[in-house]
Amino acid sequence: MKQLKKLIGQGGATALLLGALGASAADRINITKNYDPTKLVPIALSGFAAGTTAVLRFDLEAQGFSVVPQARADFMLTGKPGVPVEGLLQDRNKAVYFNKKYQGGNSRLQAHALSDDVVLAVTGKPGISRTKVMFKMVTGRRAREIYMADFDGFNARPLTQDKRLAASPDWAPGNQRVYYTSYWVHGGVENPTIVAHNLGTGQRGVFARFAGLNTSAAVGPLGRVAMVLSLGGSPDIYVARANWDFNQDRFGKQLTRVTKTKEAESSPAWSPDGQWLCFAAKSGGRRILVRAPAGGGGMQRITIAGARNPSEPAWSPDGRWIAFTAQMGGFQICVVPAGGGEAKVLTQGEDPSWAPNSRTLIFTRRGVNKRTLALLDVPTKQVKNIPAFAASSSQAAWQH
Amino acid sequence: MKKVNLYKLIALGAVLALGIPGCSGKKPVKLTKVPGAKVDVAGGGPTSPTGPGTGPGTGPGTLPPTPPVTPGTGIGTTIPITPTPITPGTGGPGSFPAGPVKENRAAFAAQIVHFDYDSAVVMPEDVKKIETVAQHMKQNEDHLLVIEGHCDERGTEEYNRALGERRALSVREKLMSLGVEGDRMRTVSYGEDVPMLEGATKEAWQENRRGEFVLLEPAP
Repeated sequence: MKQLKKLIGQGGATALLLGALGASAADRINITKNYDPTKLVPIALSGFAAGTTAVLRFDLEAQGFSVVPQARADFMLTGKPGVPVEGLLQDRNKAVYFNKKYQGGNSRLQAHALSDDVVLAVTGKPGISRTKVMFKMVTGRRAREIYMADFDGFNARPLTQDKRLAASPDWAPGNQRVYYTSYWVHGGVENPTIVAHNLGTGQRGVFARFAGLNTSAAVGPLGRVAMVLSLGGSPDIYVARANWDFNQDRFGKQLTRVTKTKEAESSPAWSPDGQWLCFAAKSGGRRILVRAPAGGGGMQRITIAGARNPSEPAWSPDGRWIAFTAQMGGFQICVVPAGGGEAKVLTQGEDPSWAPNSRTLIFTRRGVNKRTLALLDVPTKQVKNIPAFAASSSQAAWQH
Repeated sequence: MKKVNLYKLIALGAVLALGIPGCSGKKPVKLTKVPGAKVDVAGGGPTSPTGPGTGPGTGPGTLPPTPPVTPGTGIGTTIPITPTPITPGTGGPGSFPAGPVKENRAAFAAQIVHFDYDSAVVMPEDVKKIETVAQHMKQNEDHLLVIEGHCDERGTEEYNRALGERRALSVREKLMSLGVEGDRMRTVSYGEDVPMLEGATKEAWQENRRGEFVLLEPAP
């Protein structure tokens, strides 16, 4: 089966399976082989209930599709009103890709599952319609809470209700633990503290609370945690090994100090192989992105042509790209090859975070009254705005 | 000067450790289940006399487990800021603060210092203000200080959180050069989260790029 897959190419295995349903294998192979991620795939939706149509439309438009009338569509997704959700996917030659009924959950979740099947059938890659994001919401003058929601902004719920400032949430691999910054008060002194929070049990603990700054926790693939601490006199990047315990290391001697500069470094991001950290730094008064071995060693500047004042880097899960914020007048979402090079300026916004598919970004936009979240499909540059929350929202982090 | 302070603190700490019941040294508190909101405090180690920002953490405490997540929770209304007496930490030697303190924001309200865009350099015109603070700290050896660093909104969020910390550290260094002991001061950066003035105007930005002093006086 594997050899056949290699011969036929991406999506060809699906075509083989569908051969049994009586359509021409050659037509389907041609279409999927021609899949170009940079071109929006025109798809028509018909027969679904209004609510289901809305979910499908959002999911597909966030993942490189364009929902169009049937005459212009390359694919047709047909359903019926009411529950449970079911979907028939055909191409313009009426060849059937799949015909499925969904069960369990609720109609929204079923619609997301259907979207994911469409994405897989057409692009050959898994969809992200059922993934989750965390973000920060303003809840008072000196209060921010960490929220979690579906990737489309629905089902938002607070992870914290501390009525304090909070910031910078991040997921640990496996998505069972999350880390964030909380301005925890202890001994009467408010101090930015990195908190580790087990989603399954609701239990939390202080991960790091040195004097001064503790923020921007980033968990690497091997469970090590990078963070920004001013323990050494200036905000620098430190790395804790996977089983590091603050209570046994109150002076941070067991941490790896990755940077030691008079300037501030910020926003560490891990390479997917866990070997490198990319972060924002300054050199000669200019803001730059650098990478450094996570075990310590020199910083190497990442050459970025075509974008200025980079910060907030995010390394794509497939290792190929670094997304970041460029500050050039306003803020712009950019991507650059992970090894450096020409940056693509994509859309107005800041603070990008990659979806597991290495093609969708969630990011923040500054609106007139408040900040909102939006999604960007990098290859097609299509943007989908997430419906605004009641209050300013930012610092989104996509699950692994 | 620094050595004398270290011995003073250790002595003070020893006295405190003897005097406070239940302070039995370190307790493992990582991810410990705690019913209710009680915050336990583990003692800190001796204060390092050198370097801004060094010294042990102010004690981890134990966070209450998060409340059950209820779907559809509305966004809270603005939470009023009321000055409250600060409950004492029962920490051992070197904890900051070592005893019960009262926050006094009014004391140095006239000494707020400002910074240029993207800079943490103390401005010459602000040195007098910092000298005023230093004088008070030297005349009141039992007072502690929190230095807050703030930014305007024209930067990305975590970049600003780090810049705010550099600003606070910059001011702390100046105070140390004027003779205030490092371990009596802590820095807290708020990034762009707590502006003095709302709005996207030059005036607001200028007011927001600031360092603030919060005096901690021993509570009666």
